Amino acid sequence: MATTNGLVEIEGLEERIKKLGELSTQNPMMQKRIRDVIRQTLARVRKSLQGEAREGLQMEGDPRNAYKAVRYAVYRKIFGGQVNILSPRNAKKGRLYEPPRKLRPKQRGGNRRTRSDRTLELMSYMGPERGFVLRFLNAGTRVRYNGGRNGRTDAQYDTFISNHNGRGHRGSITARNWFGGASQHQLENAAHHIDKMIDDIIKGIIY
Amino acid sequence: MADVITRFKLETTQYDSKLRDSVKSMKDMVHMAELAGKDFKEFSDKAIESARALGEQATGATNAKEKVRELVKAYNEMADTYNLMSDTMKKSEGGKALAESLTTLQGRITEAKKELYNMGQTSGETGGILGKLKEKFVLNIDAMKLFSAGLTVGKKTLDVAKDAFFQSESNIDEWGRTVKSAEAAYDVFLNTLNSGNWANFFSNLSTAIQGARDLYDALDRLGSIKQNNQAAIAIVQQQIAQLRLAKQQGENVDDQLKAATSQLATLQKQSVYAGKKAGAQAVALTIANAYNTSEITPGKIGKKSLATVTNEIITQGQAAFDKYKKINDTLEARTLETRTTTTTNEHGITIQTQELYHNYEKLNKEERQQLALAKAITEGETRIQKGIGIYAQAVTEGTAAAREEFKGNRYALQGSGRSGGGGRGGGGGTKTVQTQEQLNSQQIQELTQEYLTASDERKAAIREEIKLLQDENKEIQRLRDEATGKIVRMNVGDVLPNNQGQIGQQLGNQFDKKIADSVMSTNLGIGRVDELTAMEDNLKRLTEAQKEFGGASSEVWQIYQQQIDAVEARIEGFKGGIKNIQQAANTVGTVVSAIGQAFNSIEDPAAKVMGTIAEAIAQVALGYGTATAQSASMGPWAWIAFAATATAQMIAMINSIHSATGFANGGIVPGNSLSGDNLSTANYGINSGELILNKAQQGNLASSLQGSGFSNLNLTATISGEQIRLALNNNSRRRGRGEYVTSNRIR
Repeated sequence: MATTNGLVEIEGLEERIKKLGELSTQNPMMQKRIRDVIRQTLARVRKSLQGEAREGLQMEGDPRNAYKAVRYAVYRKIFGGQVNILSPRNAKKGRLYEPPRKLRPKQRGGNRRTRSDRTLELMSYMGPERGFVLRFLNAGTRVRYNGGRNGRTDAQYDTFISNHNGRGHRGSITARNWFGGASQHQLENAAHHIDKMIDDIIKGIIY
Repeated sequence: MADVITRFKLETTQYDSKLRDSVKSMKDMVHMAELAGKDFKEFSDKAIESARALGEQATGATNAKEKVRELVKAYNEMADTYNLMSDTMKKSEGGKALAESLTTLQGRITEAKKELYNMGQTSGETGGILGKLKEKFVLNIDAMKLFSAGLTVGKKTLDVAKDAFFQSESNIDEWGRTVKSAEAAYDVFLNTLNSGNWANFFSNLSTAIQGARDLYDALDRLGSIKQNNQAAIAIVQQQIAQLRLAKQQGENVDDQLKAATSQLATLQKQSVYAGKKAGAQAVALTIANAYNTSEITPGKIGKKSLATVTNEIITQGQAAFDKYKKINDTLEARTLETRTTTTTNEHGITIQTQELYHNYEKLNKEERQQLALAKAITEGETRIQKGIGIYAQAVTEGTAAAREEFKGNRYALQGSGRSGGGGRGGGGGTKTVQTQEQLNSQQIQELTQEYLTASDERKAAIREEIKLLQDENKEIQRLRDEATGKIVRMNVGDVLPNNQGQIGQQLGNQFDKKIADSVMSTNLGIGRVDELTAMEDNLKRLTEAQKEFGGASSEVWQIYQQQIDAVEARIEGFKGGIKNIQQAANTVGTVVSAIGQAFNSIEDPAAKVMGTIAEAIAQVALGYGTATAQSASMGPWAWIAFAATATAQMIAMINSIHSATGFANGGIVPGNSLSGDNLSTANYGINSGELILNKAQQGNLASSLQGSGFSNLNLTATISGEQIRLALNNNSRRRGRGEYVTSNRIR
């Protein structure tokens, strides 16, 4: 504060007002920074959940790396986000897995041996679609029975089934119910992390 | 069914709201500062204009000597103000303007002195005499000027310093004598400098110093007697009261009563005598100092003349002042002459200047002595009045003491008469009361007779005495009525039957307690409204009880009703008081709330310091506004703002806030040096207006703005829950993506 020949000013107050204005959530820069914080936090949450899935779901082998199917998203319109084990609704977006290159007709390549449809099918769900493995484990299934050619209801027809006359009990998967509790717990822990990071943002703006 | 998706949302509504509030409060503060700044600017401009004009101020002097005196006086006053300014203030525009005016005045004083010298006066001797003064009293002109500055403004500071640094009685007395002597010495010096009468300077100085020391001793003795006799007087008064009681019960204590009354009178007369002596001495000293240094007549006033004139002033009062003023005006008029000076300037033009001056040679010796005395009394009226005040207080105390003595002796005398008729037994009490009443009536008759022929002063005394006697008779009448049963004194509880009586008693007690509590708490103000409501409820209940009770006599109910009315009146008065307090609090609150709340909203201790100072400045500005609009109701702030050096004092006030708290607790650097890192606090370059926060305050500030945790800004992170899902659903609807309810869940 200064008094100079009738002038009363509060030193630094205008600057402080300006900086407080920058802290507003209406400020695009502040919005971006908060979303960055949310993104970083959700990434940490996803990693933790993937670790839990890998260690805790007792998937023997997990040849398709199904644990990687835990995904996250940051909302654009509000400050928030989600973690999930859904498959992407639009396969064109964010497809992590690329199917092996298939030679065109009459094209000769190094690997001349054509892959069977089954091989391609097995390989194909390693990508975004593998989330179904986690969903099945999370939610479980009822007991399934494949009743034969006329009663195929639960599974696709394949050579294994044909070899066994198309019939057989397929058993059931016990529901783990892990995702809801685990994700909730992880997000609650992450809230403190968000606090700290947004504190750092405010500190960076004020000073 | 198991969840496959978990959502969360950051709730920022409160965060944004608090942020908006803080920004708004800060903007309000800027606005208030601007408003305060406008007031300051207007005031400051006027102060600067005034400071510039001071150097060119006109004098009302009719001769060169008076001109020098007025200019020197003006210079000293301005120098006081300038010396009080901080370095920063001296560098400001106002300070520079004042310095320019001082230089101008200095030049004018030099010119006036030259003029005086050219006129053949004896001002040339002052240099040598001042040298001697320096040798003898280790004083010089600069020291005198400094002393003048300190004397005018810093007397309170001296008093405070005295209390702080001197512990023993002798040191305190010596300090007081020294201050009084220095004041007197300075007066004599200034008077002599102005009059040019250096003939008896050292002798006058010695007389003045001795007189001042004597006066101090007299005042000190007066104070000492008053303090030291307090306990003795209280003890004797208690003894007298006990003896009177014993006498009422039939004991023969007349001699003891007379002795105690005499002792009380002796004790009281001591301070009366000391007060009269101090008052007269103060009057005499003022007159002697002025007379002895007067230019009109060389020589000193005689002790006898001084005693006569002092007595005249004290006994005749205004009449004496009028008389001497008339002498002064008459003789001064006779000495007035016109002197024509002819000068030729460089262009060869002859200029004739006419000047009025006093030629005291026209008067004979006695007339000159009369004029010197009259001038000393007329010009020293204010100082003489102080002495008269001391004397008057002593006389008043003496009157009261004499009255006490008179009453005591009379009481003892009456007791003797009753002692003679002691054989009448229990009837004596009633007879004594009647006798006293008769004596009083007789005394009143005598005084009334005397009143018809008495002087004005005596009339006033008689009126007081008659009133006293009448009051005494009233009290006797009351006691007699009470004794004979004409007046019944009882509490509400005494007159109500059984349970109603108990209720009434309780309520009565409660009223007293509540009223006492409430009255005591009015200083604290406003939190007693609930209790007041409770009091009103109780009063209502008591009134209802009154309706139910019909057995008492009308006299009893009259008393009862009076008590209720009195309680009601007190409640109403108390409510009015609370209303006033509330209004005052609201007014003050409105003025400072915007500023005060600005930083409070972010709960920052360091910011509160800023808010406090802003409040202080705003109040000063407000006070200035009040002072200009309503000078009659000036408060202390208004006086500060209204003083000639208000700007400097405002700065000084802000400085004092810092000096009181120090920068150890943080603070804002005061002053006007806004750039250049000129200030040297803590060996760092700083500028005025910069905010210095200590480490803890930095932490607090950071915590408040960043959040000591996010919670301070009320930013909360809400994880999952109904609200989030609802928000997402709304969002999805708006975007035409349907609802997030159960469709994306596997159940």
